[in-house]
Amino acid sequence: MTETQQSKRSPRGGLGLGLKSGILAASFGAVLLGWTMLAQTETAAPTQAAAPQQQVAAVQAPVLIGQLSAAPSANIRTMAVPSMPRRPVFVRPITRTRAS
Amino acid sequence: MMREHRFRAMNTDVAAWLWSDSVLAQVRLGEVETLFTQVEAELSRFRPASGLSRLNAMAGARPERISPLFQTVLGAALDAADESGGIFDPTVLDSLRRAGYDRSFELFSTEDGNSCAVLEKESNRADWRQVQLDTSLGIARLPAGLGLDLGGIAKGWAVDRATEMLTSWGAALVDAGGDLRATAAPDGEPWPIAVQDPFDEMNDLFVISLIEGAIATSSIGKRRWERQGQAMHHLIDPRSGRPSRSDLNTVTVLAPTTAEAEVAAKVALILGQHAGKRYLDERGLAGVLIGVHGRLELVGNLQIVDIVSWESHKTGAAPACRHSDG
Repeated sequence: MTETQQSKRSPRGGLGLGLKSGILAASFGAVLLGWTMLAQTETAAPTQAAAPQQQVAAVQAPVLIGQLSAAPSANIRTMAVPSMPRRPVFVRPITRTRAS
Repeated sequence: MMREHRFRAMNTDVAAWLWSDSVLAQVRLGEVETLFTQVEAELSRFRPASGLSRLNAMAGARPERISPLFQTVLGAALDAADESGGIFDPTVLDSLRRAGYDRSFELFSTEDGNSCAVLEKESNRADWRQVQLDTSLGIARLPAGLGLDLGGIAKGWAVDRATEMLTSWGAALVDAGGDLRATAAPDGEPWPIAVQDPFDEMNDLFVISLIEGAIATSSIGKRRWERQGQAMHHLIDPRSGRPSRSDLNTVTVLAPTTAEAEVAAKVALILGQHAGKRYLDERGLAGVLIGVHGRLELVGNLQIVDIVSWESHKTGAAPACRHSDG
């Protein structure tokens, strides 16, 4: 009985080992593939990020002529202010000079 | 938001504005009225109990102890007299009285024939140079026959002090009968001050955009009366002891402080068109001189906006083209 049980266990253990090896190999391959793809993405990333910045600067340039001579951060700030209509403080003279 | 407080003091309408969201803004504006009340109580010549009346009553007698407020304003008045060569003279009270200005102008009628006092200048009368002020002891003394009238400069000083009190709370403007001072521009907008047409009180000539500084006006068009058949007004020329016979009707001056603007406007008016313009030019002051026949002259670097253009600009309409310079 005991042997029978052992003989029954033996084929099951061999099959499990192969399956495990396969999964391990597949995982390793997936990791390698992932690292490879990531490396490619990182290499390409600076090029893609630079393009939109240049486009913004090109769009801003005509708007800022004669207004600002400063850093890019100042340019971005001016773009964020679309001249909201503001209620004037005074709609008529607040007082007048008088003969005294 | 703009807060406002109006009241009457020193025989004139006073208004104070403060650009502030503070819940205490209205309290601060109320303190302006308290200040004016204190200045009037101390420096009015029409109040028998004022420090000024007490000093005038003691002329020729012993020195009188006066308050720090009185010392400050009297010191400023004597400095102004010195600086103007005596054309601004705070000691013309006797001349004013002899001309008939012997009570608050609110009690005047158009033709006021008070007694038959003769309008003669005392050729050797004392003047501001004989006033003794000792701030270390807090005392002052007037020679016999001399009286002080600090009306204009006291009002200017009160406007200056009130504006300085409000400054730390926001952009402020204080106006006492057209003599005014501003500090800073509320929300970046200068204070628009209309300049009244002295020949048509309902009309304004143009607008001055004031960011910071003071404006004061002197005129012979107001506070007029008749005496012994002669037209009188309150601006005494110390050189004659009589109401000024200047060729100017009204002078408006811009200066750093209201007290300075008040003095300069009075001096320029008494000096007349030519010498008055030179006086302002020499001190780098801007102003508007209006002659007795309506001739208007702008002096100094005065940025004005035509009243119609200003209103059109504010309402978004096309600006009108009208010359303000006559």
